[in-house]
Amino acid sequence: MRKVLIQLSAALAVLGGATAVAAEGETKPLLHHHWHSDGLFGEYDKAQLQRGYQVYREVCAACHSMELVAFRHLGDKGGPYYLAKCPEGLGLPESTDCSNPVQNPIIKSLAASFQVTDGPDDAGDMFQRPGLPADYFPSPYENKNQAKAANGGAYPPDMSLLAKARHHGPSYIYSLMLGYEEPPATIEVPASQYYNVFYPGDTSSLVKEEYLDDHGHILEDHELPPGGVFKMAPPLSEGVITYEDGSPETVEQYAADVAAFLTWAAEPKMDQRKAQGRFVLLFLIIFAGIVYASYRQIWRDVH
Amino acid sequence: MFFLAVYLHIARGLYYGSYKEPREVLWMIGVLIFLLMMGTAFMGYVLPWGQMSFWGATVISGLVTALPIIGDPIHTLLLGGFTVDSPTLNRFFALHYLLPFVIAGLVILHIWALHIPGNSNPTGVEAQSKKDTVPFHPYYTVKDGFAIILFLILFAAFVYFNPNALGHPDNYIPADPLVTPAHIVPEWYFLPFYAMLRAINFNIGIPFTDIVLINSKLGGFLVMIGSILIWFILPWLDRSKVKSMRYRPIAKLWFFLLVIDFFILGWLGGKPAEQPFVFFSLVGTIYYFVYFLVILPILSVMETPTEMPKSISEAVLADKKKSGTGETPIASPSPAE
Repeated sequence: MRKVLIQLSAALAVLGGATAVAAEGETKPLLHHHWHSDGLFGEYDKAQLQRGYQVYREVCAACHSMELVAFRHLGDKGGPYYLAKCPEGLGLPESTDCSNPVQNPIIKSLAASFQVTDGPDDAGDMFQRPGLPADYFPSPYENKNQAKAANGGAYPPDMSLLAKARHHGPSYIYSLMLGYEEPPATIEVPASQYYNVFYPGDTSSLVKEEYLDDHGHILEDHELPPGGVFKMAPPLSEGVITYEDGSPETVEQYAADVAAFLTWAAEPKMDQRKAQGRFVLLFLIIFAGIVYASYRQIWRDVH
Repeated sequence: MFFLAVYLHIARGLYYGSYKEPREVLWMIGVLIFLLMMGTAFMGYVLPWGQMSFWGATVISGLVTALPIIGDPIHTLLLGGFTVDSPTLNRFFALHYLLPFVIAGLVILHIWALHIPGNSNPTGVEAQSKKDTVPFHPYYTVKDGFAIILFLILFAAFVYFNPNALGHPDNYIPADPLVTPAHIVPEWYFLPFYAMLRAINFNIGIPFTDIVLINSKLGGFLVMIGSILIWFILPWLDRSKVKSMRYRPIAKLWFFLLVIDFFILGWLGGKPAEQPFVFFSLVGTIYYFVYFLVILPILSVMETPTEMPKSISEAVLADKKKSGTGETPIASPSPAE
């Protein structure tokens, strides 16, 4: 069975690769990272999701919204703060069901640490109140235009589905965080823009004049640098976030954690999906064997 | 997945000559079903209203504007406005649930049209006596049942372990009329036809003058539509008396070339519209039409078929003798749809 599954997944990988046509300009090949959620039995690593959420909240959330994710999602099965049982010593009433994200004490206090706008009240005014588990993540900007104005004209994309909205999303996010390199001497990076070897841009318009030939192409003995420039400053640097669980506070670790968290945000039900899928496949394979046997039995005497 | 099954079904029909007399009506209803499926699938793809939905709808609905005079009014009517917008979504949603009922009706007609001449079979020889056939139940219920389960395994593998494999990441970005995706790519099942559409990147006019008879847009549109409409006249293009390509060695060769051609076109359809892909698309498109319009009609006159068995049972028994075991019936009557 395992062999069949491996072959199937190999076939799927080929199919997946076939549709994932490389779009945009040339970039460096994405960095490979082994994700805990990869493969037939891969599930999210809860501790990593918690760290990833911390990275999002402390760094990314300054510019990027996550409009489709609510606090209660963090306490869903497979999510970073899911509790199967209530922790002891908090003095919670016995009827509390902590596996329900709305009653989960971590989610409740987490949500309450944010202020959200609600209303209108009886007087017709909007008011501020502490967040509830059912509230969605507050966005850093009022609207798209404000977000653009604050970021030099570029809109920081909503991160809810980011891991699914890019080719090889998790690896892309991970690579992009590590792809801020010194721009090569051949290109001129405009002010308040940043060069990244994994960003699907186009560097041909940035080549300095002394490296261009008469037709506007780069000189033959130079190569067009991979990647592109965009308006996001390198967001991570060593030690900007303090992890409580003693994980290394390096850019690599931050990048992997936040990519894992965004993968979860884009596919929060992946664990349940795969568990059900394993059962369904096993059932179908056994069933196929039985039906094949009866097929042979019935057809035995034909001719 | 439905498209995968349908493509296999069509390829089988082409190979075993299932479109030939007396089954022309059956074949033509099948082609209609395929056309409606394409329409339904395309409109369904628009409904999530992601970037690919929006721009796919813009590109494909824009095709009708290539038609002279009536093109623009049809375009406006279809979209409910001058560009793709909420009314378009509304219309496509209505059509997306309406068309499947039409398809279901046609499927009934498809089965009815099948039951008049009866099933064809891999030998292409009509069934002559009871000896040539077996009852549908239990023989085909169990055989098809096995095939369905194998298919479900593949389906479940996609659904549970790689649900995004056949989609495009851009469709997870909400539709934005102000931002065009870098490459607009249709779903995989449209790729071969999309390649044909893009292969026509030149105008057709009167030589040595500036008069354009068919511009590239209309040309591409005609080629894409024609690639399917040509199936309607297929029963009269291929005049060979021999149905199954099992007994047509030369036609068989060209047929497999066509299958490969179709795969290559599919691959090219997913590539950006630049050289050399467009050139290869053109070559592939030309072969596709040459197969139907030149090769099949010529072969039906020129080709000498190999000797055919007198009846189905004779073919089966001969196979049995050859293989020695005869446990698996190879030349059995083909199952109903």
